[in-house]
Amino acid sequence: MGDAAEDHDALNRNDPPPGDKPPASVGSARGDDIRAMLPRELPILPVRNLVVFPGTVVPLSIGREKSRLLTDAVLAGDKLLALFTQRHEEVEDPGLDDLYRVGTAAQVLKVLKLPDGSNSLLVHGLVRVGIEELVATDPYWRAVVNPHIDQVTPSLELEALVHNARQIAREVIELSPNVPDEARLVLDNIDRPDALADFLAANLSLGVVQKQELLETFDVVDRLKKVTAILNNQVEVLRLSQKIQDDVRREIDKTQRDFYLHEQLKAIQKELGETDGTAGQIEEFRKRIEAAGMPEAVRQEAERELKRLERVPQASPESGVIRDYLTWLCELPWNKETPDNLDLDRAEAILNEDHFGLTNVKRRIIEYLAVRKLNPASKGPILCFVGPPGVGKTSLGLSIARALGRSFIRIALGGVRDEADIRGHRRTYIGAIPGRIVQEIRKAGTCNPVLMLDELDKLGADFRGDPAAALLEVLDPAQNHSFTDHYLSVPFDLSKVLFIGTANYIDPVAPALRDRMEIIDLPGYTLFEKFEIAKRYLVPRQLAENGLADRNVTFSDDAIRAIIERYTREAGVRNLERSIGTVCRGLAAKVARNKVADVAVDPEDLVEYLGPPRFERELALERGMPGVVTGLAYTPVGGEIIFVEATAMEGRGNFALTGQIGEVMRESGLAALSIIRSRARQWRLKLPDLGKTDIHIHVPAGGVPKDGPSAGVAMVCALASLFAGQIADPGVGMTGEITLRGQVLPIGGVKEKVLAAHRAGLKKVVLPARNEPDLQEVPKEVRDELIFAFSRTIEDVLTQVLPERKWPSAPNAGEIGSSSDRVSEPQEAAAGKPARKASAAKAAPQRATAQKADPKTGLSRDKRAKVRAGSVRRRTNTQAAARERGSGN
Amino acid sequence: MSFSKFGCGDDMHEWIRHMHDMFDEMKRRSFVQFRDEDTWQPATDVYETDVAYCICVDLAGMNPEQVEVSCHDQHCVRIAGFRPNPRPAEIEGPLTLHIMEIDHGPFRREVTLPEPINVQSVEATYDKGYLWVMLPKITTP
Repeated sequence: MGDAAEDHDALNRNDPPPGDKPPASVGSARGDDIRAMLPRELPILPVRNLVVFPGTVVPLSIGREKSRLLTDAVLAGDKLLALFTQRHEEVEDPGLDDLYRVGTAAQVLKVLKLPDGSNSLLVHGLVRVGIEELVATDPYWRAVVNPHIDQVTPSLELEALVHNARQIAREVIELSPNVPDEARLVLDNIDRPDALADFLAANLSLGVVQKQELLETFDVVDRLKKVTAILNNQVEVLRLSQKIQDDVRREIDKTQRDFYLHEQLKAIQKELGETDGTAGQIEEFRKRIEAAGMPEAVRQEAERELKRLERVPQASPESGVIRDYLTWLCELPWNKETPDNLDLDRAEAILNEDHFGLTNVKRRIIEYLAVRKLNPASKGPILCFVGPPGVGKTSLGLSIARALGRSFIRIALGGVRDEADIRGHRRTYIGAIPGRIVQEIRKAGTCNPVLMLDELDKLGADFRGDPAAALLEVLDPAQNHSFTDHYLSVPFDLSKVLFIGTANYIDPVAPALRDRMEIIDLPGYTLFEKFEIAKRYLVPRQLAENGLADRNVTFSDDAIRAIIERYTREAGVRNLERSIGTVCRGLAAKVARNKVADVAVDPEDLVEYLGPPRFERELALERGMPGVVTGLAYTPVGGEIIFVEATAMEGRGNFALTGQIGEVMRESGLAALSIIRSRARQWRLKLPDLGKTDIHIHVPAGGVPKDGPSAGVAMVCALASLFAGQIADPGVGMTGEITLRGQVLPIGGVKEKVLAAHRAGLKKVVLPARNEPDLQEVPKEVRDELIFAFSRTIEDVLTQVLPERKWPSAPNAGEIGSSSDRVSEPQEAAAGKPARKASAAKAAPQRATAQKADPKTGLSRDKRAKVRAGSVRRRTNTQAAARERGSGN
Repeated sequence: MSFSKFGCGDDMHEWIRHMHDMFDEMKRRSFVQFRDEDTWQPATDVYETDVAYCICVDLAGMNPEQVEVSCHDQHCVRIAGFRPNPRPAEIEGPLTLHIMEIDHGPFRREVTLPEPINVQSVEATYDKGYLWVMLPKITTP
């Protein structure tokens, strides 16, 4: 048993322990002790890729034969050897020149057997040594070595270096999580500068050459400086990597976390052998693209986008955008068509089934079908139905689609102001979708639907663009085969679409647009047509709607007519249907309550359901009075007769025009007065002193705005009637535009005006001569019940309206009544040649009025004047006209 | 990437750690042991009772006289000595050493004790290769 010895003194490392003296142990002896302990000759072990520093404990693997022999010998002896690093690691059997001159003497602490059978020596570096002389090379190396003991001269610089190095080393250790905690302990416990330098040098990640350089740096200060410099570098790198890691950590937010998780998920799925979500989606898209039947250019674009989708991470918003785009591309009907049913008879039957009348429209559609039958490659026409509301434009479109067997799309353009509604937004915008056209085509599912563009005249335009301009491409048959929506950015073929536009008025529609379309007028129904429509379609429909279909409820014809005339005033049939519906509802109430059936509705019953009559048709005056004539006006809801009243009173020469007359009508009024004044003498009218007379023309009803030039003749007639003191024939209606020369210019809305005249009970209608061809549009029944007079000059009109007087067109001229007979002459030839004759005609009446009675000269001149006046527009038939006139004399 | 805690928030740390590892991998950092002294440390157990500390040192093959136990204050005990290479007895002649794992040479172990001990009453015994050191605590009167 050993005694426990009390030792109050500080531990002295150099205390030799009691008992045996250790044989040849270097221990922690320094300086001369080492020199004393180390033998002069040592076995030399070459090491590869490694520099052993004094103080370090390093494992060496023993592989080479020589090394093995050396090991055995060393172990048998004092376990001391010297380690020298090879300059080049490939050398198997190094010579002296292959080794660095400075190495480290070391002691073998342990010999371990590794699992693979090789040996590992654990050596403890002791001191630097240099080779002085090679003694032996076989069986292993031996050499005379010279130890180098580090000289440490304490100085402030050295202290500072030590402190600094330690500090940096601490930071390096802290920044390197791989370094075990004991490193810190060791670091803190080394106080010798040379040992510190060696410890740090051993642990720096340097190449062999650099480490060897440090080993060969005998000067401790130098060594420390070098080590510190390298440490500084390392710490910078570590700090930077730490900062980067911190930044990375901070920047990892949910999105990236999700991405990371997705990536993990993908990896797991790949390991499991399943295809993951994205890949599956890609495949699906690929199949859809194949199946969509796109044209080549479009398919390439789709493939391109698909590749992008593959590359883009699933979490990013871009992936959603691409997927939406591809979905759109795949869902468009690139080559899906419905076959047209070109059975013309069937088509006609369907059109007739759904609508009454509208013959010209139906004819046009049948023609289109016929053309398609003969030439399947013909392009779809672009039709435009123009007409007042309620005439059935939209329902006609539906009917057409049904007749053809195509899908029907309707796009309401009323109020659309944004070009993007037509063309879509570019894909780069958030929430972009294609325009309406493409959207609706997709809904239709075919590339040849009937596409109805409703309310073309209500397209707006503002800073967002001009949708009308966007439609130009859509509606141009030469361009719409490659319509490019902004969103799709690939062309889509619209040429197979049958476009139908609708509008209430054609004027607000942009001229370029108008130009591309074939305008078909749906002018509104006549009384007769409305009656038929009501009887055939509206009444049965409303009866069914209101549950009266099997109750034997009927409407008498007169009742229907009464509803039409007294409760509606419209061009279409919407109100008519509504009124019929109101009656039906009232009936339904009665029927449901009393369980009554078998009701017949008569005109007298209408008051009960619809209230008092709302509209009274203007009827012809029973009796006229001077200054009042009947004119014909055109309104969107049909034609109407208007009364033009003229009166004169004492005053100061004012001329008033009232009745909410528009500008054009006002000018007609002024022109009318001027004609009266300029021709008063010619017509032998007695005018009052206009300087002391106020003239007032009024056009009732005062609340309804009126405009247009066609009341010109009526105004002249009213004034003429007033000043002549003659009552105008109340059964005569007139219309026409007046010029100062006394010419009557053609007007529009002939059919409506004639129908209005007929409705009002007029007997005769005076029309401009050039409007005669328009009479074709008036239904025969109506035409047969009226007398038509065609006028070229104002005198013609006056003759018709105030037949008791003579209205010479030039002084002393005879009757020119024959000009009121029907004259059928071709229009085309005459229309082009008025210019020259007009000037002559202008001159003629002036000359005519200047001369009073001079039979001889007057006759001849009159004849010429007559001829000229009468033939102002018909040069080719001058002679015929002259002959006719002559016959009338 | 590892999936050890898939679905937990620790993924992030794992990932960051992986990044660390990658960085360190790049620098090829591994720690080189350093030993400033030549001594090895024997394995030691330290026990405590209400009245004393008891230290057991794994120290086979020693002559008791070669072991030194000393305290330089009331909280510290040092065990030091020198253990020669074990050599098979009664064998002369050359020996080849294939495996050498047993520590030999000078050793030293210091143990710091939280409570003060009575230095005068420290006793040490050597039995079956274990060195037992008894260190009675200073009992407060």
